[in-house]
Amino acid sequence: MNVDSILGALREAFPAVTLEFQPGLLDETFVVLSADCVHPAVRLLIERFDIRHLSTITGQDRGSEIELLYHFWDGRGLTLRTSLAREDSHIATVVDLIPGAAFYEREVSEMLGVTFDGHPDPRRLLLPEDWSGEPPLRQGDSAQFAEQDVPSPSIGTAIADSGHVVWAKDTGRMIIPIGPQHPLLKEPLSYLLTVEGELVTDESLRIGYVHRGIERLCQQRSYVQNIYLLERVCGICSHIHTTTYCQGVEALLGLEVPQRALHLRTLLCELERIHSHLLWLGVFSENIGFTTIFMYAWRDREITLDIMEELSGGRVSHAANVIGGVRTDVDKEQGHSILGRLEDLERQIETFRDVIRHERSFQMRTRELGHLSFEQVRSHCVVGPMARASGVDVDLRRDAPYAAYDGLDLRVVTAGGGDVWTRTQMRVQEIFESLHLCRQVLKELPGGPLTVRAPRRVPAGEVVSRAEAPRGELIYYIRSDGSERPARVKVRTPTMTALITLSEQLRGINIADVPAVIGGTDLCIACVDR
Amino acid sequence: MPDWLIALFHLLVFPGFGFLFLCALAFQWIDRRVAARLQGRVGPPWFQPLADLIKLLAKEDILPVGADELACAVLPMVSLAAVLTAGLLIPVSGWKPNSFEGDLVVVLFLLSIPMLAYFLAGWLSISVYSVVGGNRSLLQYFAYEVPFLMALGGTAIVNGSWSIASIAARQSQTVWTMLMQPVGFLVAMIGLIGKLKRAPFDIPKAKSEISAGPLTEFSGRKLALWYLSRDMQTVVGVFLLVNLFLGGSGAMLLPALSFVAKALLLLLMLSVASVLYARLRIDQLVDVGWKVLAPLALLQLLVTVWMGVG
Amino acid sequence: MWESVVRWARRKSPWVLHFNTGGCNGCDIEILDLLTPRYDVERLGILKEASPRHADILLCTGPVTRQSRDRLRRIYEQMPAPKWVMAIGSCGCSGGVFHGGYNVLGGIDQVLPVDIYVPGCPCRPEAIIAGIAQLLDMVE
Repeated sequence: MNVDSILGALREAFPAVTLEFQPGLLDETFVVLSADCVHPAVRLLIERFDIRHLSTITGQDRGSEIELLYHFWDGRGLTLRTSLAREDSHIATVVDLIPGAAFYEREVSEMLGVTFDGHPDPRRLLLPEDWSGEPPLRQGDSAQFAEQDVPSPSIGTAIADSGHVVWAKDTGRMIIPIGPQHPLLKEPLSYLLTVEGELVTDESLRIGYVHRGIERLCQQRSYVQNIYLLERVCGICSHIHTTTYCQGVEALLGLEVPQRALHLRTLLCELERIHSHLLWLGVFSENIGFTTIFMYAWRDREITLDIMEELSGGRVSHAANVIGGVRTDVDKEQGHSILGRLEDLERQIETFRDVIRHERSFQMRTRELGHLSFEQVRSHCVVGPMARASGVDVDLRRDAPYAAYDGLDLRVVTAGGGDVWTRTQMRVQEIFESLHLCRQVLKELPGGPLTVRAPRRVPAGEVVSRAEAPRGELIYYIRSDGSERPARVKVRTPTMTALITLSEQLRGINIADVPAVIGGTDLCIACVDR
Repeated sequence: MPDWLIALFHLLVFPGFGFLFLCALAFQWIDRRVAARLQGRVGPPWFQPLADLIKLLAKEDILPVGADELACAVLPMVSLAAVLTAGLLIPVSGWKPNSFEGDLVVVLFLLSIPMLAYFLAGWLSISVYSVVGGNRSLLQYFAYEVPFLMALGGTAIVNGSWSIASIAARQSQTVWTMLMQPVGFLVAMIGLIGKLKRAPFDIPKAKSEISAGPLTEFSGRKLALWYLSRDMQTVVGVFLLVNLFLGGSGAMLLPALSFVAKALLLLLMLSVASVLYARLRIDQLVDVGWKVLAPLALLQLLVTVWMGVG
Repeated sequence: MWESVVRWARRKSPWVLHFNTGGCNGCDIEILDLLTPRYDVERLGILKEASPRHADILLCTGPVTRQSRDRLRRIYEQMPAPKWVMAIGSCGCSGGVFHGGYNVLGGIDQVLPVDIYVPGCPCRPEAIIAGIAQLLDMVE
């Protein structure tokens, strides 16, 4: 991405408007423009520069006005910044240009009370449908939320809850609820599938069952407390959340984190990726009725959990990161023993690879299912393994190296199939790459201190921090107003993007394939709902 | 001893309810244990099936509003009764019960009643998962039943009798039907997996898709009866195949021992099959049933008839 | 006599149902972990059931969010008696780290009568097994 030429083009396109250009931390560029310029500017970015990946839209209450930030990514970060009036705030939707923005806009809309003109589906996303209070992220007294009555369930949830046969009017179609409690789902989300015979003809998604309001809670806690809160956004990829957050805050503080700490972070990130992918392989296999793979995948996952517990003291949540470094260390002997166990793990995973590649019943249940084309992935801003399985070569570990990835030999796995089978094969292949990275880190672990001292107060400023979570690009926006607490922490997790594509994947498939397709996208609802 | 007492003994103790009940518990335990060992686990202790059953019997029995209460109460009993009756007609370890020419047909008929009851239970207990599961069980019935019947019919033809006891007895003079009709045996085993709704053909009760299928809304006593009927079906099915394909108890010195060994062998095959594969989709099963199993069974039948004529 | 047999059976055959009311996945994967070779709770007779109608113990994880509250209550009502509720993890016990969030109502005991609390964030699989064992001792 050539920032100068983009800026030039924007100036040319909007001669009457003053554009402000602000270089930011972590190689991010901010461009300030007025609200009515956003839609044409996005069109220009797409048509002239082929920048299609909208990472997320951050909204924040700046007191006198509501500010929106459109975070784009194309090898470098580019953020369009615009402000809206506090009362009756509205802006043109960009969903017509970027279909993947649909969920981002719905979230901003309910959290800050912004109307997106022309949005095709302006329902609530995370809040209960009959939430009647103030939009939760507008500044104000938090007590007003507590006073609100607990809402009665809305009609949509009532249908899903009753579990009885609901026939759609005179068409002979049946509505089958999947969730919120369903053996397929380890976390609650609710799908209402309209079914004709065994074919899914329509679907309606409802999330928000695990919406805990973490972004709001972040504003009420100190920077250090937030590490432990954000670790609990998700129990599967807890470490990458704290890593992304800490590296953002460290950038705001201007800290130089010791190399040893960066390497240990990387080690935990990769161990977590292995654990996450094995967990996924197990859950996915159980979804398609292959319990044996589930058992073996989870048995071998224990190896990584043991290593992580040894390093940090926690199997699932590690609390390994602190601002300015890590609080866990590896000595030589330990490193040696870990290397040995990784060897064992690699042998086991080779067995899995062979089984899922050659087992015929496995292929019958996964091939040519949930297909996503290269174009679909690009237009829906899909990230991570889902994108790579459709041939989009993107991996932030290589494209924007953070932690210690810069000095490591990393091979990005991509594949062209775009169906569930390809995703399965690719994720297993990624485990081998992660093992390769772990070994490199352990062998080349530099000496030196584990932390640098971090001041408690963070100077005013803002930062966009990105990292490659097991499920793809994770992005944090952190703004400090110079106090002990962040003024805004925005989290966009990779599953959000996968969830948008799920409705297209589900239509027209057999109901027996629903678990395979939902499983194949590797959802993490706790991440989406926050 | 008066005749009626002997009849009652046969009905309630051996080879009737008591014996089948114990076999059902034992088979369930062995099956779970073997599957667990193959998956790297330990598995349940020996009394587990009994504890599960007693616990379910003592639990509250609820049905959703709108379900057909009478039908839901009767159906598990119908299913159980059909299986028990079938069990009475099958020779066990050399003991030949009420054997008559054509009892094979009666047994096959009785064994298809549970599937029908299962389907109706799904349809009448009004949960969406039950309805989908019920529909699937009916589709599955059409997929496996024809090849299954053809494979079993082949044994009758080759052994020249439609009585299970005579088929078993004949084999001790010649060879096991399994050796003469390996393809038929394979089809019958696969058909049995379909009949018992075991993995990988547990499509009507696929947990991750439709919760517990037709049994989703059943609880307490009724659920216990369903589970018991399922386990007894396994026993009766395995005993039937032992008689038809493995020569029953044979003419050896210890008929009981050889019968048990053969039954366990078949059970082991079922358990291993259940951990080795992913669950198929219902349309894939129908494809397999009609495009692979049925032609194979038919071929086996034709070869048998042709050889018989020659 | 029958009474004591039933009590024995209940202790030996606790079937569980898992429902996440707003947790972060940490405890949920530890519950799932119970089924796998290292912990293998089937040897204790514990099965994870799919339908609330088949279950004896409801394992709840996470703080109760506004949207999941009614669903939680409904699942509890669908379970046949005798039934027990376990709050798994610190969030399930008290709301934990999410206490004070605008969409969080607090621990499971805000909605259902909880029999056993298993704290920990996330709690270890061993702790969950110990919790179930304690619950079964109470059944006695």
